[in-house]
Amino acid sequence: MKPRICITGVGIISSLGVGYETNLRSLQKMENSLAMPSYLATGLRHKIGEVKASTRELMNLCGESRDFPPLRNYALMTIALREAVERAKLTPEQLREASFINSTTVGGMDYTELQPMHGDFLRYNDCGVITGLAAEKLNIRGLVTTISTACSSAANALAFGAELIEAGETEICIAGGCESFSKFHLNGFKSLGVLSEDICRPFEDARDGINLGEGAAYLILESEESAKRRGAEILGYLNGWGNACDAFHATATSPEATGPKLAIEYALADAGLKPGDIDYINAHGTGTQNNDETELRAYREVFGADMPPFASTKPLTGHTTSACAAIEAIFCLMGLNGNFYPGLDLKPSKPVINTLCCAFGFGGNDSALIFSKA
Amino acid sequence: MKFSKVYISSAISHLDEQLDFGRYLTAGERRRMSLYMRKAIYTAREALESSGVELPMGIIVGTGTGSLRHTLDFLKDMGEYGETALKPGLFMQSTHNTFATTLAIHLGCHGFNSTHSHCATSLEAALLEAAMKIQQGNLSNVLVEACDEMTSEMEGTFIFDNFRSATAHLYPESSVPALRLTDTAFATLLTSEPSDVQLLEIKIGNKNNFHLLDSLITESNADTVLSLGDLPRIIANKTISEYVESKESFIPVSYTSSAYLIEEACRLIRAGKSKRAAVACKLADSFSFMLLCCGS
Repeated sequence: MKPRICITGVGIISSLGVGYETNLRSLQKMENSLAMPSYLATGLRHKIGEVKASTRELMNLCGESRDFPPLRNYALMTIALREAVERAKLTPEQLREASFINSTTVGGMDYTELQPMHGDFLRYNDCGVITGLAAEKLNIRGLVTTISTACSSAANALAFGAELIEAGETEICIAGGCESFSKFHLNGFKSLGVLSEDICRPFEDARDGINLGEGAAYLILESEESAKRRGAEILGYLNGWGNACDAFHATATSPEATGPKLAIEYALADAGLKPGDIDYINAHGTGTQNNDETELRAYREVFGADMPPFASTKPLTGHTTSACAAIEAIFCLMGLNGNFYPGLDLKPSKPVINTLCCAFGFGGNDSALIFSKA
Repeated sequence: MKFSKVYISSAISHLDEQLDFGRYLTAGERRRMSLYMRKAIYTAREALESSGVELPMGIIVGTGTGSLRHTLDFLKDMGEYGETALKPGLFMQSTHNTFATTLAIHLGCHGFNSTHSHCATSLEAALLEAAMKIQQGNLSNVLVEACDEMTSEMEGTFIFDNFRSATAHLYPESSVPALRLTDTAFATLLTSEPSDVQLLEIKIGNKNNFHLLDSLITESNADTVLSLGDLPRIIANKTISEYVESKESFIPVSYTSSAYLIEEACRLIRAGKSKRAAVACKLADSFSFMLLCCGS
């Protein structure tokens, strides 16, 4: 039997607020945090999920001096990372031995785009630069890398982190993702014509597109042996993961939903669970016609008559792209521990034990994770 | 991380040579794809062909810059025209995962697919994940590709400065080879099938544990050490100059230049010139170490 991957700490920042408690409260009240841009210097009028602080305020919050470049994505990452490390009660020695698998697509683009033709700015286009800065600050000496698979990035970071523990390369791995707003990012989605006119309505017939969001979330993954040795509180288990490629189109999903279906099937097989064992699905549910239709098809084919309750939490936070699978992984843990369905106004009739968290990205980078109650 | 069941069945790179794209790409693909994308796919197909594998079980790409030309073009358009009428094609192909997913679409590969983008260790991280999956028995082979698109704008960045400071001291002043920003297109197939080159170890580190690299090299018992970056000559008996002397008159600069050393190490092992070769790189704020040996 494969070793269980424990989750012993979480940290989160999203448009719902800073920290676990704030996000939990907003999630349970189903508070919508989407509004017209007020911090991003854009003329576009689309509702987005901004973290309600200026980049300078965020830099102050993460304790960086005025000499440090104003890197919004770095600030979001650092704030969530610190919370995760504190909640897991990791000592500096344990942190030093840990691995850190970050994920982002925006990277340092929020800074690069200020002066893209200047080398000192352009270097931040490399996704890993901000990861490296954080690893240095936290004095992490284990494996550090950055995964970038568009909207499924954080799911792949969590899966890779779990596999590093399985392979015995590390006992503790910090994994998750971050994504901040940049004009590049918002205008990119605008150019695709997929931004919603108001608040997104995933899985509804009248859905008209996405609201983008920003945020960061990290999970402390740990081998059961290490967690027990440390006497750490176990918040849940990452029991299975699957990754497949739709291999169909650069932005659209195949009508057959090949990638999403395979990713979910692989995750179920990895966890040793049957479709009927899943109690809730945190869907990718971006609110575009194409994504939601094919995502539903994948669920129908995998679950058939055993379809569990499912919801997208993107109307609450916006679509936080590379960070979304980590933010929603934490929502899944909140649901498991508080026995509720994140994003659904429906009281569970039986205990929520196993939840599926799906993330499907550009180019068909499709991933699924299964979290189980501790 | 150490491996005992991972082999390298092919390792191929291309610099500036003219390639006959018609060999692998349809007319439609040649029209739609950028020159760099065509080169990346061509290289991947060659690596698969020389391994006798049509469809890999997985694809993992390492890229520092990602699809830089598309990214910069989108930014230039935004600077010039503001936030209107921007081209969706540029954005779609600007994300760092565009190489791995375009390759999957080209091959019809529904298997594992991921992209690492982490400065000068992007390729090594991709190789590490692939090798770990083979070692653990999760996949029997993985196509790993290094894709870095370099534009003249990169000349002002730290990667170029790092190469300059890291290579200059290795040569007498008069014979320092030219540094040239060069796109990387390197593909390798890692497999569980025994072949003539075996991958034994990959270690990636950062500034916090730079000191480990020297001991990794000395304890590796390698008869050949191919190195890139700020390493004393006494440790690295074959620097990137070996590559320069044998193939090109310049040092190709990108985030994934270690690809050329891996290719060279495989070549030396296959030719019987080395039994155990290490590839050591120390650039920017990170280092990587790889150990390869004769597979049979």
